[in-house]
Amino acid sequence: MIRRLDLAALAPFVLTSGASGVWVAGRSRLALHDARTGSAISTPHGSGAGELRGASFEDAPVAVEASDDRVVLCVADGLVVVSLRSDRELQRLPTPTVPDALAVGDGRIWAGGVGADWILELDAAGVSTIRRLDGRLAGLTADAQGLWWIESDTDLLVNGDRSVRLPDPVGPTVGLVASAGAVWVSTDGGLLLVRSFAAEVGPTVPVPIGPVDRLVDVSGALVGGDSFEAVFVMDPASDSGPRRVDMGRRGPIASIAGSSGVVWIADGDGDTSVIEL
Amino acid sequence: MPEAVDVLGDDAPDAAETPNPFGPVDPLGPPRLSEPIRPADPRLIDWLQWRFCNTRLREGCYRITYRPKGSPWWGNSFVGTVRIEDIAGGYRISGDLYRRGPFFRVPWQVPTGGLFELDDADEDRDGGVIPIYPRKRYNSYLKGTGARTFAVVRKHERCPITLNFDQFDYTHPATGFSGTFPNSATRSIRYELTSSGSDAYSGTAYDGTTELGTVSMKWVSGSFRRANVEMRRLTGAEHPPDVGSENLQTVFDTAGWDVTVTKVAAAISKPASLAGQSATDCWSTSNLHRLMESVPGYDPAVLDSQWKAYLLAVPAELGCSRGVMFDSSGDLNDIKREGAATFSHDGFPASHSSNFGAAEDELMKDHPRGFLRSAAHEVGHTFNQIHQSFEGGNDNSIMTVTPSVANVLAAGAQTFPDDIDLAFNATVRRHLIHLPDPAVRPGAMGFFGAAINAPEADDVVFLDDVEVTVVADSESARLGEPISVAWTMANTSDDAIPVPSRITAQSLAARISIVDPRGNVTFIRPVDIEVCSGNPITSLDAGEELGAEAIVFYGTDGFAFTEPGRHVVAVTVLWEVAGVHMSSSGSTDLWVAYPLTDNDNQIASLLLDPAVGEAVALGEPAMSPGSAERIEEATRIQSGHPACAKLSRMGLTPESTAAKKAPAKKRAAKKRTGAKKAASKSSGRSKKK
Repeated sequence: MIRRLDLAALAPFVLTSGASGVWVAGRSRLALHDARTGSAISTPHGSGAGELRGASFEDAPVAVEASDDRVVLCVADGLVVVSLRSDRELQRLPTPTVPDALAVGDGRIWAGGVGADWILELDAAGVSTIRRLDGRLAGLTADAQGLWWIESDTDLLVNGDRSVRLPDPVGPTVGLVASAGAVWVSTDGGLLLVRSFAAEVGPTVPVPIGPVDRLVDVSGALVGGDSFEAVFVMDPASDSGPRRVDMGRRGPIASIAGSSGVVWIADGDGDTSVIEL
Repeated sequence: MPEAVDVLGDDAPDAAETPNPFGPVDPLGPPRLSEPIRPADPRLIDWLQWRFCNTRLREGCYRITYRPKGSPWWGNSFVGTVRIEDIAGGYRISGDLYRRGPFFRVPWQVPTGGLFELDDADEDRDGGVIPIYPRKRYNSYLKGTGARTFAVVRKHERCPITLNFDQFDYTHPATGFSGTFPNSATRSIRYELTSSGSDAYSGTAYDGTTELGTVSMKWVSGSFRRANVEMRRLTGAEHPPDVGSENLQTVFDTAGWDVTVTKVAAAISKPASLAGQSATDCWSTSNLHRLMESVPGYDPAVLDSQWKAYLLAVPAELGCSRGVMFDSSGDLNDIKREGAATFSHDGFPASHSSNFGAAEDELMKDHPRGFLRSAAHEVGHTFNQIHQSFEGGNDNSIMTVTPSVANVLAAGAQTFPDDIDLAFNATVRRHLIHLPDPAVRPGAMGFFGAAINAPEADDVVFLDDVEVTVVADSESARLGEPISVAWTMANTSDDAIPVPSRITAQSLAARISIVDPRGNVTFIRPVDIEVCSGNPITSLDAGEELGAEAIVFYGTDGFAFTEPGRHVVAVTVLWEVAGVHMSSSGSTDLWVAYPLTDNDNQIASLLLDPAVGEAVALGEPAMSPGSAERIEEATRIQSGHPACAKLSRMGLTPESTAAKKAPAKKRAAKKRTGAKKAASKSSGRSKKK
């Protein structure tokens, strides 16, 4: 079932998946919405609507909810960390270039600039370090094994001191997400499965749409797509393979997020489609 | 997630203790040609005090008890299970340990039989039932990496076995039960055991040379694991039916699981909390979880004493994906994989596959085989099994999604749903048997989703790429006729494989066994064993092969062919790399003809004598008194008899022996024959054509 929400009042905005809903960050405000009903809800620790002073989403529309009640947003000059407890800006970190890739895991936050040669790590204590890469970052994601990233120059998927050589070269950007025990890389032939625990390449799973730059995990299901014409959904717990969901719209997708089996797909200007898996 | 790998090596017959040439210990040392063994030789008498052990581990589940060194009888110990799967070429072994104790009992609780019987009684409490332990007591997973069941011991000694494991300690979460295993083993341990009863073993656990404690294990079941499935149906839904003799229980039989299925006929109603959920619409996973919680008697605490999963039948309509293991994304209580749902009024829409055939756009309830398959698929998810498109590829097995099964069947000119195979494939069977308990038991680790994530780098897979081919110089033989057997071991993979430098019988890397028409096994252990010369591991490149040959007639365990009929000549190559035993084997049939004439009988009687056997094995009649006379007499009876002709070609008849003594230039023209010569030239490397 597909519904549409009008969030134009917050445009331009970005979506990010949260533990208890979907975060909408836009017009210098941050709001948590119930994924199923779309209504704004109170955050566990505050009003659910934080003021993001000086934040702009024009340049780098990316945000992420950290596991320890922090929401992180990419802005033009770096990262903004917002405390959910106080609805206040907690930390502002300048970065070498505009950050546009974020990942969280085990209390840590990672940010990088796609096409750049750096990754910033922010630990649970708020201490940040910059790692310089040998090549250019094509994408990053994180799971229980920590951070995974791909450098487009080397075609390596790196996880700490482990790395996996990708069977085919990737472009300057690549759809990459950790989901369902695997790291998925969007390729021409489908989704390349990399077994996270073993750090080994698995099969490439054909999907109805691709390759895509936007891949997200929604409640254990994998959702991907770049255009509003259609997205694909792959739920590894059902008796069904990857399926195409036609959305009957046109135009590029700005962000995808989800929670509780509900996917939000936004164009960034307010028109948001909601799919119940 | 760690998972057991194949333990390679002992490709042994079923006899509990059979003679076996494979063993590093040769109490006599290698017999030398200048000192042939005589019946009266005192070393032979000494030899008779020894025996070969080949312990056959019974397949199934064993209960295990491990007590750390220094721990008193009331102190901490560990209990659990070890699963031994009999596979071609060896075993696949895994185990799980749970913490137990310490015991704090007041004196009047100590049984009258004595203090130590308290422990024994506790261990025996489970009897022949696969034990189940509380989740919070889970300690570690044991991944079998090696097993040695061959040994040479003195006659009065018990047969020893050694089991090697990588131990992976489990990290419990702060709350709930969904913990984690490390990527690499916590430590490597070794159990050195001897038989302590019928299918029971006890001994010592080691980490390297450090003694860790005592360990005992006893077989309890031919099944590897046991579980319960409770089937409930919502009003308006239908249960997945039995299909002939096949049902959910038989599906899990194919994975070696003992699953008890309880199908409750009475329907349940939607609870008030689900008033907004139409029974026939597609259900959210969280609503399915709520439905499970409303089932009478639902109690997640039971998961500490049972491996229990719910299967809920719901009348959701066509297009809802037939079923879902809802307790992942829909988990409401942080207890994972408690149940799954199957949608009786969903079915096989053409939009999912164009190969549903007669079932296209029809409902599952009207196609029992497809319905049972899909229901079993979802129950498989509750035991943490994943889609086969994420592993070895789609096939006609339970954990492939239904549309892909239809496509696979169509590609093979088979029909959906009639040709559905209601069985797990080998990959999933292995997972179900050998993944750690928390990975498969409901209520423990979360759903894997798309990757089992088991370290399998040292898996058996490359052994599948080693092919042993055995060829005899004749398809049939007469009694008393030596047979020349050649074998090659080829690397059919794309990568180099570590193998022994020589695969001769003399090096003990190859073991020759003969199965006679009655199923008896005789090992042809060579007389001239190479014990002192090393046989280093070398690299066999892709496409390369090693070869060797031997005369199969007589060995230290007797004659190869003592009766007419169909025999199987098998060659098993065994070696060890980094502590992992590996093997590969091949065989060929040989027909031993019935004696039809007096000559046949007389010649067989003359040649099937140990003296002749030794002469053939050593390639020299002079080394074995009495042999020359017997061979000469046989030749006199019928020199053209196949057995005599073979001995002649081997240079063992009087004429051929005389020829040996002729000038070298004359012998050079003769074909090279003889067991010793054949063996000495028999190991070589070549590129496979």
